[in-house]
Amino acid sequence: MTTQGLALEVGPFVTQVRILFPNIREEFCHLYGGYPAWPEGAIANNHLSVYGRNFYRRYIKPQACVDTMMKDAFIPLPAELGMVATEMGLNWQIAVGCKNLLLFHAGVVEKNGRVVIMPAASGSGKSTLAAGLSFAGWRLFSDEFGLADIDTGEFVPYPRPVSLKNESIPVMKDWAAPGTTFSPEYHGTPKGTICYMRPPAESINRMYERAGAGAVILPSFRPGATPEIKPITRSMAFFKLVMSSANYGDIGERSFRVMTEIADKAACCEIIYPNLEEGIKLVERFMSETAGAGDD
Amino acid sequence: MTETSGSLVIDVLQDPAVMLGFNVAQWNSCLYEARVNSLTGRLAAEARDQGLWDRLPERVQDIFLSAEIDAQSRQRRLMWELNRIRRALFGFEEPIVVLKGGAYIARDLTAATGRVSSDVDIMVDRKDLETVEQMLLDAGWVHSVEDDYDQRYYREWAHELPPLYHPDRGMTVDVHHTILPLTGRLTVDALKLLAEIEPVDGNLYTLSPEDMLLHSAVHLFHDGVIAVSLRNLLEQHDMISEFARMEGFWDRLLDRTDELGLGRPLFYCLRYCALILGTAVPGEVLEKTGCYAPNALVLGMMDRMVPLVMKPPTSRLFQIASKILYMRSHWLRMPAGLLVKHLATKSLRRLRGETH
Repeated sequence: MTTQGLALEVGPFVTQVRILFPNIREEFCHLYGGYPAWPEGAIANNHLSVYGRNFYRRYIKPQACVDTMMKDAFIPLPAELGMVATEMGLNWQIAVGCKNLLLFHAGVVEKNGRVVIMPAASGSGKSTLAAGLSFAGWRLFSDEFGLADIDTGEFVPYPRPVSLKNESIPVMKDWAAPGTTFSPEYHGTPKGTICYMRPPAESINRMYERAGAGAVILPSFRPGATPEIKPITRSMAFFKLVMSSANYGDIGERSFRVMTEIADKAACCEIIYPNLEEGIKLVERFMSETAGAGDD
Repeated sequence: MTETSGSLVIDVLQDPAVMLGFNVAQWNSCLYEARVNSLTGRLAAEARDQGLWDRLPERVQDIFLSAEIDAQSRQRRLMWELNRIRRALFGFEEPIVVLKGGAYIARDLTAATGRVSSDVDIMVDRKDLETVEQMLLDAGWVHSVEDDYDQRYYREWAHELPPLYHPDRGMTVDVHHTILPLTGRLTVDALKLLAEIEPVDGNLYTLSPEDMLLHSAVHLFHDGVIAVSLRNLLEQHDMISEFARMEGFWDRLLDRTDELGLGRPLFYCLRYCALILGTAVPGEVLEKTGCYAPNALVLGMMDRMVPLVMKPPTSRLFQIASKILYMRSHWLRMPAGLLVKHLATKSLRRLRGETH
């Protein structure tokens, strides 16, 4: 990984990753062990390098710079937060560079061939809820990036490690199946403390299996609230999806058609939940109530 | 592939079918080089136009589709921005000349194929500059350069206003009043350019075909840094190939070059298009432009460096050549005294940590 780098495959993307710091490289390999990698090379969608700004900065107060080859202007982070910088770079490449798939800022999970899309802003608990569901019989597509085929509207799994922030870290360490891989906890990042978690093996092993939209659920995490499922209109679901999409306008007409199809077919609601366990129950309940009612 | 130019992107541009024989390593080099040169969209368009798409590896199809959509959306946004500019300039009846990428799109030229442009460049008569600036500011554009020194740099020495940025749409417009810096070793009489503009729609114009080519040549070989500019050389190749089909193009081009005093940039443009991209330039045209060549020493250096910096930026020589060409571009842009002052100001600022 020092010279040519390593071709890492997650879902529909291969990234040629090159990390020049041994500690970051080690943490990266630990977290991404279990994903397909192509040491002999594969055609890469993206290239990512993590390097020291100059010779001096590699050894004294080392700083990790990230180059995504996509007009990024990341402020270098201290090398001990290099893994955070690397993950931010990988996110940036998808958020900015992916135009062949319709992109949603959403947690996405699947069960029985029905995909649940949970579009929401950062801090709404969608990452935690998606990750929680992945240890409760669901398959994790992504905690952050919903990807849909712009011709068929099918969702494409992209099970990168889940990014857990602050209070959700102990919650997930408690909830996850024994033996789950976690990264070290990174303190003092721009978003507080961050910890990455490798999704269950099942989600990674089946990352090429696509599935159609079953439901759009807007998650709303409110400590102390009474768990509640609130109906929302199809138009509201449509607009929430559009607002959560980074490349809806770029793709143009095709994204409009796909989005319409999703909003037409999927059951939709808002859930208000006070904790992870109640959130999962609400998703399960809503999905069983609407089972078979996919095309009402 | 038996013979290669040292650049897989150039190989593909000359014969798109070579893509079909690429192995994984060649694809990665080619796509990397294309990415660096913002030419992925162009390669995608070649694959599409030549009917090669379905025979490409699936991942390449994904990458090309992404680049194709990106280019389309950026072109759409650019034309929309132009629409917004015209709306903001409603009531301003003088010609608005769209330059560079916007002009290629507006004229539907080959040079626009798969092109990713992010800024809008327009030119107006210098006497109207303040009016246009004020109208854009009134309509919501803001200066993206606040710094006094940089503002002065643009206003006193450059050939354009400080860039104007639209916060809602994230687009930048450069308002030019001519095509070369006022301080440079070459200057162009903007009135002569304006005398030959051709209408697109209403008071929207482009330069004449000859002037469009000369502008691109001047931009690359006189005002530009040359390194990592394969895209600009390619647009010249495209324009030459396309315009050469028009009756009397070469004669008009030679006359115009003489009139505007842009012989040297045209000489380089024709020489390196032919040398690097195999552009069809008639022998007699090459001969006639021979009088614009620099001395043998400079030409020898340019002949070594220009083809080198059009190739993938991997070699040590590439770094050296681009540094030399970078210094050359500054040398051509301003007189020595001013250059020293400018570089000193910029370096001091960097040392103070004001910019990265």
